[in-house]
Amino acid sequence: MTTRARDEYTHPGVRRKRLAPAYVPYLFLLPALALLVWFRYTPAFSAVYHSFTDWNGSPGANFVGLEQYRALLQDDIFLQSLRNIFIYTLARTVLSTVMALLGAELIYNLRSFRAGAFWRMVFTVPLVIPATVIFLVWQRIYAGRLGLLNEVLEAVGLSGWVQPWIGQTDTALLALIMIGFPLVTGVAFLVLLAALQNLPSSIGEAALLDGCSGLRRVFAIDLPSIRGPLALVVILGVNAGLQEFAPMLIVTGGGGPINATQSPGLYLYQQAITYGKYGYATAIGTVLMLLTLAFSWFILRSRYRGAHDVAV
Amino acid sequence: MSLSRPVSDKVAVRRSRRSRVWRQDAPLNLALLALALLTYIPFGFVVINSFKDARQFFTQFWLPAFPLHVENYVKAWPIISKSILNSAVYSLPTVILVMLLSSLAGYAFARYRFWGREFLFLAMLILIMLPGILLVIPMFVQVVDLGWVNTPQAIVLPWAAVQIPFSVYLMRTFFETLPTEYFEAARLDGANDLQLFLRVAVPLALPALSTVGILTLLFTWNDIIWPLIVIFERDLQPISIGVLSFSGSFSTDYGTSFAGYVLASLPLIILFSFAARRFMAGLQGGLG
Amino acid sequence: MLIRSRTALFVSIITLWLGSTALAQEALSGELSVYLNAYYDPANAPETAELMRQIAAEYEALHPDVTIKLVDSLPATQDLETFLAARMAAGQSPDIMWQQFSTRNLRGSSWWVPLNPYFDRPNPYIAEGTPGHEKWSDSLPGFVLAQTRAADGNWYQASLDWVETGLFYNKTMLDEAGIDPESWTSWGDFVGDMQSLRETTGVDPLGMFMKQQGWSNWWWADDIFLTVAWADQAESFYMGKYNDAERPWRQLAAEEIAKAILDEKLVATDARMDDYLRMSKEFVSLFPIDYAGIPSADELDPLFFGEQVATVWTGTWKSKLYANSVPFEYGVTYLPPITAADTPHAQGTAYRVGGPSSAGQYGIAQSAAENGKLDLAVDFLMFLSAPQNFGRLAASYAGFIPMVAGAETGEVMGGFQEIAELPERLFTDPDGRLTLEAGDAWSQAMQAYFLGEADEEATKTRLQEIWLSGANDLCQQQGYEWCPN
Repeated sequence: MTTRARDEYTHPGVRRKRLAPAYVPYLFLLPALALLVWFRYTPAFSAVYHSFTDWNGSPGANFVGLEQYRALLQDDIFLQSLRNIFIYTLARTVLSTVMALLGAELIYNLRSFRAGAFWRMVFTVPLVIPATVIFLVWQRIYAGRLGLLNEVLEAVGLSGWVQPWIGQTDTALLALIMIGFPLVTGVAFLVLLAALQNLPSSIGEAALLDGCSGLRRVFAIDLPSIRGPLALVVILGVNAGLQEFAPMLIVTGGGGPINATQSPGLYLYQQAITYGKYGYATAIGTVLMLLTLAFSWFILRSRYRGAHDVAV
Repeated sequence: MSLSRPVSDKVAVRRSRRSRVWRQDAPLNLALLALALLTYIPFGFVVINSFKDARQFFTQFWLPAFPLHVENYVKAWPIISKSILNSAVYSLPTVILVMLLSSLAGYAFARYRFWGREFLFLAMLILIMLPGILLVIPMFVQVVDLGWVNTPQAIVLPWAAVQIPFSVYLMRTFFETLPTEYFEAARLDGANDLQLFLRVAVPLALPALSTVGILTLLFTWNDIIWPLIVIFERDLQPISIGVLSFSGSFSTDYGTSFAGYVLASLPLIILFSFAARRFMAGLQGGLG
Repeated sequence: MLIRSRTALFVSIITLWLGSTALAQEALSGELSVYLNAYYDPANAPETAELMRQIAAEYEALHPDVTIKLVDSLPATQDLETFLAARMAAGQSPDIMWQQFSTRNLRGSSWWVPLNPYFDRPNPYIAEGTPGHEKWSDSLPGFVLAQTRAADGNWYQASLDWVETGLFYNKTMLDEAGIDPESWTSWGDFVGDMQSLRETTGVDPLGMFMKQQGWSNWWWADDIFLTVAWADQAESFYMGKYNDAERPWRQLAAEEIAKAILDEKLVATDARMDDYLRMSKEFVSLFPIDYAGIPSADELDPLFFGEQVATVWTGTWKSKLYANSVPFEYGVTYLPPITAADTPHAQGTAYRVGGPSSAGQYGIAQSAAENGKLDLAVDFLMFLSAPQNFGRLAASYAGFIPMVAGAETGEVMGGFQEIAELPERLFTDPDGRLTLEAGDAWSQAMQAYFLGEADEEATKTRLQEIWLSGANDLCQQQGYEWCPN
């Protein structure tokens, strides 16, 4: 049942015969590729090239081979930042995907079409708040004195739980992970909801006939059917997580305390912009890119396993 | 829905159906309401604090304070309104360009087999994984060499390039979910490749396209660093820089800043409520 | 033919002779972009911005072929840093540009034009009889020039104004707790009073915070405690080349700190550092519980305004906001004198923590020189720094103290006169002592100590490592002749 549903509805792009000339798909791709070569690949190659130099941001740089990478492996702060970002990315991706899926499923399961449109709008609008404002508000939610979280804890009689959430090493990273809770709103929510609403309604009806409903249906039918978008959401989550630096820079004052929230993205930023060590920074960036690639690879593979039928 | 009932019963049926729908939806609506309330906490504080002067802001952040300082909005409006117009000039072409190029590319990846397909696709995905700050300086040097400082294309093309890779991924994923029968029917009617794309694929992909459009718009609305670097003239700066006007180096006018954030978000809120309806209509027309 | 070329030669000699004076002045032309931080910030300080427009117009009237383009101020955050890094890399910086002076050792002449030769020239815009008329640098006080000099001996900025700092206190709260700041005669008095304040009111005594990267007001305290620990050794750290007969006690230059470290005169594992660590920890115990999580000085304001802290140590740039908006009566005081009873090497005084980390620190970008605008940029900077011009600006903004001779100090100094009489601190902020990175590493080591993640011994060892690597880095960058190979 599930296998058939997936094959028929999720990846129905099976074509029996190609009628178009071979160059047609390249024409479709050309404009996007041209723009990317111009404004992404060229500067990216320049960045990777500079990771083998001692570039300091001014014209001229000396080739130093793998020196920057060697230094990186011996840099305790960088290694700590890797540890932090793995925890952050894992927790944040799981949390935000689950919450986005929850929001999307709640809306998808509404009978009323209007209510669905209304809630979609409700959860889209908060996206307009710039991240800087979110950080400002959340940093005040976590503040030790006058912070909303601590005030609420006091008010409900949990004053034993009151603590400096972002001022101590054991809770600072957790605090960053929870920023923006409930995390329904966002890219993941939009993608998953669109995917669910794009499913042919026959799937839901067939499931109903088979007596498959509620949570069972979510796991048995919905999730396998939206595997592609789900993989996208997870990749984007992993990708954004591994590169994250803004909350560490703004909310925890540059990755503190004592590097408890230091991240490779922030460390890259500090080395490049604050200390003017672009060569070192580009080496961090290259390692970060390779890591992201490695992580995404597993997710991509699962995506391709489900999508092999496209490439008949 | 069954259509075999007598016409006279229709109104009653509709009414009873509506109340049944309402009852079944109630727990879901309640859960959504709870999530929405939590989600709107930051928004609420932005609005509350947009009516405060410095003393009120620093003395009590979490509660409203009276009198309300509506003049914050009056003060913010001239700068904000000008930069909203600038943003429109940069954001709309970017959104259109991203929707166009990524749907073309996503379509090619989803519906054609060609040499190098997976390689090109992966090569594009790698770009999502580049830390953006790393490219800022080389890209700015490029823009200066082109003599594009202070021009719209200096913002639009790099912005579009940032957004395209994952928009392509999104479009490919969605095009792959489209039932193939639609294409076959159109092909039998004699449509060529471009017509298939424009007449069949694009209308069906409206939900995905609207997602791409919204995400691109949000990105362009809030990106600070790139316009800050390539646009030298204050009068040409977009809204993301406009809202910074009220934070000085040594003092920040928080009330006016927050009023600026509220004003800056209004065009998007209006657009989203309008787009949400269009999006739903598109969805209904395509698959309903 | 011969005659004509002789004439040409003659003319060119005359031109060369006049070149650096009258003719050059008349030849000024072109557009100059100028970023003046708070002194041109139309959205936040409209009156000052209007005045600045007027001053620019006066300059344009003197030089009809010149256009001054004023660039709006940006918030001095990561956005400005990124903006500047990219603009500098592409040679697109404003011609005259503000930057925090603590970056002078790092950016040096790769970004900025050394101003030394121009500092020696007469400033034609300063009236005869006023210091600076014959030699531009005479218009700035010796301690300002010394503190803003880069590690390579150059000046990259004209630092025209100064921040004075003080301890703003909630008068009502201190009165209720029976505390009189005037009565503090030693560190012990101060700490005792502050601890009893917390016991009686439940309020955190000191509005301070500590970041692991970049400036926080904890740095000021660090400067003082380090100065207290080593004050009696200052003589042995001083290098002749930096000495100034008029100022026998003065702040150490980065080179002097590096040399003292490498000569093993300044050693972080020394027993002197025990008192440094002890006093630092005592001080930090008076901070709000989340001092290591407060991200900026602005976030101390809600605590002070909301009566959650009794005092806040901040600078003159807050004077205006506090005067207009603090909802209770407040005063300005300072840390107590630190006496030999508190720690054996103390000199019985407090130290003034002020500095040129202000709105009026301007450099000339290298790109301005490459585009042939150096003479114009220097001339405009001279014009701007003349007391009749900069004095007006500083008085209008009222956040900083103008340092150019002949400019009125104005109301901004209210409550700060006594503090300004105190001696300078021996050590500047951690980022200016050796390198920016050594400064941040220092903050992190001290954070680990305060938060209980490193004990005293481990901290001293770590601080010594930071000093050694910072001193070696500085040596490598600057290549001082005394540096070990």
